[in-house]
Amino acid sequence: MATIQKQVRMVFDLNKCIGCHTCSMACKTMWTDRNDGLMYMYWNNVETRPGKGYPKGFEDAASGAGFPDGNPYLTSDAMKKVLTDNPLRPIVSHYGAAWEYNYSEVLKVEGGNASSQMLVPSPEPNGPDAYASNWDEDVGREQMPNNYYFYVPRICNHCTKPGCVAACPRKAAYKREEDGVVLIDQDRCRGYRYCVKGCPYKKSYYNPREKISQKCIFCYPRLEDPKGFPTGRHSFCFTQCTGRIRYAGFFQPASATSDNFEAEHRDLLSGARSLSEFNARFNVNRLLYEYKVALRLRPEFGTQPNLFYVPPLSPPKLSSSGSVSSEQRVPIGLLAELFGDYAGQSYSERIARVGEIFEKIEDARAGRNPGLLRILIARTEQDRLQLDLGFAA
Amino acid sequence: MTNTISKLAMALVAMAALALPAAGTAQSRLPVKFVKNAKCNLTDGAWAAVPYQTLSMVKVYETYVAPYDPYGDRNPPSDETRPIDVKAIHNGTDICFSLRWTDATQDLLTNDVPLFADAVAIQVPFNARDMWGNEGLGIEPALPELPPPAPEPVHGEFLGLCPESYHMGAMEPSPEQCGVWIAFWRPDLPGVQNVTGVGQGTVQRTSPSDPASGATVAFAKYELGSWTVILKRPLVGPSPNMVTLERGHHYPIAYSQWDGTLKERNGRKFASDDWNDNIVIE
Repeated sequence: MATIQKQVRMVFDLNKCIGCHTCSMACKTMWTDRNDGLMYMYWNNVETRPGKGYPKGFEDAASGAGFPDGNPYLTSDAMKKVLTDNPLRPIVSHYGAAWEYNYSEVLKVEGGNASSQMLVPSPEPNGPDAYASNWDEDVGREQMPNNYYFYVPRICNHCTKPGCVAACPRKAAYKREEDGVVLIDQDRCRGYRYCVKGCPYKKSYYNPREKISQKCIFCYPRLEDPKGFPTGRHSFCFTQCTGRIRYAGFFQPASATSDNFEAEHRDLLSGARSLSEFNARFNVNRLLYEYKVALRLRPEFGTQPNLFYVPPLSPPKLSSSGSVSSEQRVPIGLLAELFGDYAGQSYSERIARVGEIFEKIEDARAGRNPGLLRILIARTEQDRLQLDLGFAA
Repeated sequence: MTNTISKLAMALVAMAALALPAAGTAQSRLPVKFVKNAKCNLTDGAWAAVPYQTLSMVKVYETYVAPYDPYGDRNPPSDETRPIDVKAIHNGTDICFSLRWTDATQDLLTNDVPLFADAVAIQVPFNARDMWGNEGLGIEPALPELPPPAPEPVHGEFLGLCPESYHMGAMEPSPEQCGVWIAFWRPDLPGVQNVTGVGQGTVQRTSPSDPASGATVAFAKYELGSWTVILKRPLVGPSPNMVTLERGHHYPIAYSQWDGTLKERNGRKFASDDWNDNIVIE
């Protein structure tokens, strides 16, 4: 396992996500519209919660997905079980078919005959096996006026302990030492799909045309020039985010040879250790450790994701007469199921953490925590996209 | 890579003396008969000149891994076996292997995430010509008497020289001593892949610009629950990335076969158990 000099870290503020899918389209147009095998993939997807996720049921332990209960860390036995039992999901029914429209039947351009007046997608998007990257769009739960849903944009977590890297028998999947970005060597990959199984977040995809696996590359060709020097640019889904929910920065572990800085993560959360001067440059680390308002998605999977989320606030329910009640609309238990600090954290601890974050953000909203508010508002792009600070002297 | 190629090239020139037989089970010999003008395709009558030999393959590896250490914890070999029928001929220029095995389901496609195709491969180590000793050029060499099997055969031991990963070759003590050549066939691929390896997890397709790429061609059919795949390649490797096979010599060979229905791929396969199978090129 490679040592990590510094690790890219991301925070997505779910309170600001409007579900516009601009990030998904940015990624799609940048990377995954290049051949038929890529078309079904959404390296960046936005899914609605509560919902089945993308691919369908990727975290559903009952169907063998994720990691087995009782093995919050990736043990050898847990990984064996994942590689043996985890289902590989068909594209159409679980990821969604890459559809196309009948332009040639509607338009006269490029040989079209205009025999039809209606643009229709093909394959049929509402068949029994149909699915898509945000199938549960705006569905949510409960009834008006107390219905609720929220969006969870997801990209590769560029985990500190990536399941895809552990699962690859050819060392085709690897983690870059300079920034911790997880990549798949396209020349070495032979399409065995162990990484697809091994990633509990299902962010490694199989390209059926090229017969190899592919995944989010954190837009590293934008981040650096051909000689590897930083360009000051950022990943496309970050720069195009209209809600400005995305923060990027680096975390530098205390030990230059560390490939496991989870203990440090816990120490920083508990206050047993304070942020180094380098790490304090980045708002991602300040959100995580100074203000403690960001959590991991499904940390129990044990891969130590480096993408964190500010969980969505839960507005109060309305009574039938329209008065505000003291009950929260988004059940805090649902948020605690999804989000937490680290593997092994108990459910009750997670509930407490989500509640604590609600209070912190309420404090900020009420003007009692201007530092946090300033970061969450992110007035300029430099407040959010700070990879360049990792190269400053 | 260039360095590896040059090392392999050197190895073909300067064959190291490999005289120690591996401990293990009984050796098989597959005579490769000379059949003038043999075309080797599926309907070639030349195949009638030789019978099939049935060999046994064992389940060798599962791709189970330890956390974050892909090479730390692989399952031991299991006792399961699977037969494969093999015969081979040559016409003085090309050598042809006919591989036949039973498979109740024909798996041709890999165009969806859960789909895996059937596959087969042959593997010959570089630098292993006449590794059992040769009785003389041009004469069918007799295999020497083997020592009694070791009580606990060491899986992966290759003549005491290549201690690891014999199925994919080994880096130690040197790639030129322990590298292997592989021809890999799968029905969804555009051609037979020419592959080299120097240890588990190292196998690499030869570059398309290398003459060895595309030098092996396949003829395949699936009939009555059985695959027959013929692999035809030049005796003389067109580049250092394809082992050269010479008349009058024998070579160890290994066979691997994957059943797509069982989601076999990579190390999840059946393969020859150690270097116990040999071809003798007449």
